Amino acid sequence: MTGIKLGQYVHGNSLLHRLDPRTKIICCAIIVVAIIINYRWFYLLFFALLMAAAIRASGMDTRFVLGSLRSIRSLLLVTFVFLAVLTPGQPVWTLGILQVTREGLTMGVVNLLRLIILYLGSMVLLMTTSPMKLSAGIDWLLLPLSRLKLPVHNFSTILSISFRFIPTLIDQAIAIQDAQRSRGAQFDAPRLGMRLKSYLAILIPLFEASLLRAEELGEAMDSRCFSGHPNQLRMDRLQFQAVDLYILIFMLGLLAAGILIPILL
Amino acid sequence: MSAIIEVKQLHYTYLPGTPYERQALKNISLEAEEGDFVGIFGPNGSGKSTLARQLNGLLSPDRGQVLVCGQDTADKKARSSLWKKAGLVFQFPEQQIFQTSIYNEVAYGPRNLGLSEDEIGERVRQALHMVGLAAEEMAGLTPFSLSGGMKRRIAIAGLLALQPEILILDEPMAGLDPAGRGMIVDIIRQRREKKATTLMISHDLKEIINLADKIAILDEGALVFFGSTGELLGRPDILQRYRLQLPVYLQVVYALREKQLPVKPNVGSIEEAAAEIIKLHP
Amino acid sequence: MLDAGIFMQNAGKIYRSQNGDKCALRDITLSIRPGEYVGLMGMNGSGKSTLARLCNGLLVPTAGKVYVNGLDTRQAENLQEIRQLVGMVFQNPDNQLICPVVEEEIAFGLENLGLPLPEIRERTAWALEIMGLTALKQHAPHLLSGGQKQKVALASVLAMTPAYLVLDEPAAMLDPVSRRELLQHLQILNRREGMTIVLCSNEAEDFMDADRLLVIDQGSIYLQGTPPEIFVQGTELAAIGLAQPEFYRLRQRLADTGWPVAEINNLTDLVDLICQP
Repeated sequence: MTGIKLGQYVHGNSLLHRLDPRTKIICCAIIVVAIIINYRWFYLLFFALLMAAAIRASGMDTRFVLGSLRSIRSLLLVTFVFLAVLTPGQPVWTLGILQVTREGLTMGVVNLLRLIILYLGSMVLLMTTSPMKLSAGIDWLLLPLSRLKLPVHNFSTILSISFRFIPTLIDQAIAIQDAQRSRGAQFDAPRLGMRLKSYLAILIPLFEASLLRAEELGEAMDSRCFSGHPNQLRMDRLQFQAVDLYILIFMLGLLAAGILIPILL
Repeated sequence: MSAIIEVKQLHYTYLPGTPYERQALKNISLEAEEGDFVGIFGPNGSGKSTLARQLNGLLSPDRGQVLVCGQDTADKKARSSLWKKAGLVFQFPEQQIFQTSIYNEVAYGPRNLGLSEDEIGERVRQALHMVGLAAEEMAGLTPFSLSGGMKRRIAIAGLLALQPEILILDEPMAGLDPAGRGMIVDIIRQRREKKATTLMISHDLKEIINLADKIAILDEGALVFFGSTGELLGRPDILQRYRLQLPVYLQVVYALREKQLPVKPNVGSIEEAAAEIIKLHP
Repeated sequence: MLDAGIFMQNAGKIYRSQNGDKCALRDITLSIRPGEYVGLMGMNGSGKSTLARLCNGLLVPTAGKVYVNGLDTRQAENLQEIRQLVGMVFQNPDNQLICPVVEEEIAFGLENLGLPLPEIRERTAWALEIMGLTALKQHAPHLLSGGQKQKVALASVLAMTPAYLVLDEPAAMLDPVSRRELLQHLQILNRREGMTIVLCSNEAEDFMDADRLLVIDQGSIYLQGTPPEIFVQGTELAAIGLAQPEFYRLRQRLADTGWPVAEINNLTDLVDLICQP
């Protein structure tokens, strides 16, 4: 197993780790709604700082996580440039046929902040919530939908099987890579064509193994009378505590503030 | 005869500096002469597979030295081409099959060696023959529809086609039926006759007790035994601790010797053991 | 047929595909009664895996019938009950475990049956206890060894309290120590708990505890009898590619020269016999 990866659950005992996964998921939903409704830069900046504080509070290496924003820098750059140039309004700078408008700059910054908030928020969620708790939370939240005869339990089964097999798949991929290297596959070859061919030598066997795995898992599940039943044991472990309520109230308050501010100002 | 593999005080740690840090190999020293067949045993997690990867250049030592065919694995360049000389057959090698024809699958290694198509064809034919398959019948078939045992043979043929001076097998018999296990033993026997070096990681001492020149036993990364089969048979404490089962005929012979009966201890087969037993009551 | 047991009457299975038909099983008639420990021995491809899957309705016969406690496996409405009666453990330890945590895996079958939570907890704790897995109950499956994974698979089947336990080469991918542990568990389940066991394997040594052994070759029952009765038939076993257990090969050599080894079935007895003046 390789070291800690971005977006992967990291064991810890911070406040954020101890929160109920449902709280965290609902907060993420609240954040999404809040930042869509409101586009005041100070409001968004506040949220961005809140996310950074959350990362700090979760015991994660803040520089590491903030530094990882670099991985979406092209997305951020493209978003900013497109909005700056394509938003109609009062031009501040012209370059040939391209016009950078004042509104464009504002929208650019606003959406940059939105992307950053979403990115950091999802990092906090994924890194402080174990896959098991996450799928239990999703299971519980989707429960009302099952009354509508939607196959929500199958969905959460798919999720939990995926989580269960991610480490196995990673280990398998590494083993296959080593095996192909031992037959002369070049993964660091200078030519892109050779590298791609070598990666095919990992992807195809992995795919084949996954197909076989799906078949055998299906047999094992059928043999134990698989049906779309909720996972009571897992959901039973979810414990909603006072601190969860306070955090939810706080976030709802922020959302309310976001709605009221444009009206009052 | 010079040692084709020399391992001197090898230390290796996985993922140093992370919470998953683990010392996989501790102060391992052993060597193999050209043409030797070395059996490597030990409980799960004792470092056997890690040692195998150190010998074919996938890994290099943190401390100590590993010399394979005279080359030091600390040298990155030497490591990157070591696969040509030390072929490593992984556990469940059938999982690495990815070509659509058996021919291309077995030819993958030789193609990476840069050989001519004629030579590749010859090597594929020979390699398939060594695993008990006829190239003419099998070459065009697709490997994915075959049984697990057949796929294993093809995967092994893929490594044999490299014609490596050293062949390292990581638990090649896992999940194979008796016929399949016999095939592996035949390969080892043939290599020994040609003075080609082979190392095999295994759990089954019975299958190879008469073939092995040397036996190494690892436990939690340390080498707890390295010597000849004869020396190992003289260490019942080790046999018991690592639950290495002797062939039934040897167990009988040893039990009889414990009861002070005059049977010679170094019998090599059921027939010899039976002959010894029959001599007791003519 | 309302008797307790797994019964096959002239059962056959043909797989149809574009490449032609493959007959995996032909005309199999057998009965497995409650409390028995039955072995199915055969080479890979002999049909024993197909036979195992007929027992719990994963496959239905294309000819003949299969009954479990009087329930016909070809009737879809019976399958839920049949699969509660017949628990199955497969060869690949990894490809049976779907939950991120051992305890949940064991509860999986019980959740599927819609049992109330207190009963799920109780049965899960019991299954963990029998298989000695209580300490591992919060572990993730990918961190377990092959032997431990198979024990989890077995525990998750036992939690459903089946009457019959069918195992398709459960130890094939395990190291010898884990293999022996698993077989020991099976023996305890059969002797102490009265569990009916059907074990498929191509290793003769796995069948030492079986009451009865069926040797399958090319889809038919080739030999039947108690393990000692089968193991002495060295030539017949070799003819279909199976290895006679070493002990019996040695015994045969001695028998050939007139030694009275007919009643000797284990090493200790053999040694004692040789030691006699």
